[in-house]
Amino acid sequence: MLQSGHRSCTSCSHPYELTLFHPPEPRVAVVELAGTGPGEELPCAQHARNRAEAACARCGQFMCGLCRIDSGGMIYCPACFERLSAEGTLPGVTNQTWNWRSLGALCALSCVLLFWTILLPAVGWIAGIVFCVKGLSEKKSKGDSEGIAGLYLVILLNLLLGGFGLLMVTSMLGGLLK
Amino acid sequence: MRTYLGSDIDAGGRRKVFRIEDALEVEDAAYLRIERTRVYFDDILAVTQHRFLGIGYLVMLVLLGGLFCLPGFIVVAMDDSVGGWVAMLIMGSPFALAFILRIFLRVDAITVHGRRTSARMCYSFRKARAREVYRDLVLRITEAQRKLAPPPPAAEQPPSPPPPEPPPAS
Repeated sequence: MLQSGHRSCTSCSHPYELTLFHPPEPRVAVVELAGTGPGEELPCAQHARNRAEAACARCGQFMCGLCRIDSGGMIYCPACFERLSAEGTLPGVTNQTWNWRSLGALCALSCVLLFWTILLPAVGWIAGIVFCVKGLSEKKSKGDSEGIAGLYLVILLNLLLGGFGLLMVTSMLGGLLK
Repeated sequence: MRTYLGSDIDAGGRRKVFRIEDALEVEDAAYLRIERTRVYFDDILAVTQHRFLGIGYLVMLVLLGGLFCLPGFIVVAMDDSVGGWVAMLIMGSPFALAFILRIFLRVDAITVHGRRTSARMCYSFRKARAREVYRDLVLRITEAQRKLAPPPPAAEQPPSPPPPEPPPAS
C-alpha cells in the first residue's frame, strides 16, 4: 500500500516525493417521502420515493438531493444543466475563452506575411490592437495581472507594423502621383 | 483573485496553473482558445514532486543546434577557415549551454492528482520555489480536507449509576 514520503518508482526506479490525502467522500442526504397527496410532501420527478427539496430554476421540475445541481447560485435539474452547459450559457461553467494575445499576434503575423495584399495589413494591425485591448479589459475585470506584459508587447508590435504599412502605402502613393 | 504557481509546456501546448481560494485553476492555451479546468482541494488524492531530464527537449536542442551550425559546418568543410568555426561556435553555443544546463539542473515537477483531473507545474531553475509551492499546497489541501471531514463521534458516555434508594421510613 502506498504511503507518504520519499518513494521510488517501481517501473523506472526514479525517486519522488509523495504526499497522500484521503478526501472525504461526498455524501448526499436523501429524505424518503413520508406520504403523498394534498397537503403532503412533494415527490421528486425522477425518484418518486424521495422527497423533493428544490425546484429547477429553468423548468420548474421538483428534485431530490440526488438530482439537484447547484451552479452559480442557481439550482438545476440534470437535463437542464446538461442543456445549458452544451449551449455555453451557464455562467458558472464557462470554462473557455478566447486567447486574445494569440489572436493579436496572428493579426500581426498576417500583416507581415500578406503585406503584398495592402488591404489586409491596413486593417489587420487594427484588429490585432482591438483583440489585445479586449484581452486587457478582460484581465482587468478579473483582477488578473498575469500575461499583461505580453498583451502590451503584441499591441506595440501591431502599432509598429501598422506604422510601417502606412509608410509603405504613403510612399507607393507618392511614387504613383509623381 | 488568483496566484500564478507555475506552468507546464509540452508538444500539446502550454498549461498555466493558478491557485484560487479552494482549488487550482489550470489554463490550457491551445491555439486561439483558452480552456480552464479546476482541481478542487477537497478532491485531491495525492501530490508528488520529482525531477526529470526531458529527453525530447534534449533531442530538440541537438537538432536545432545542428541546424543552426550547418552553414558554419559547410564553410569549414569547403574552406576550413576560422570564420566557419567562429560561426559554428556563435550559432551553436546557446543550444550547447541550454543542453548542459538541462543535464545538470534537470526540471522539478509538482503534480497534483485529483479524482478526475490533475495539474502539473515544472520549474527548471527555481528549485526553492518548487519546494515552497509543494509545501504550501500540502498545507492548504490538508486544511481544506480537514474542514470537510466529518466530526469525530462523541465518546460513549458510561452508564449512569442507579439512583440511591430512599431511606426506609422510620
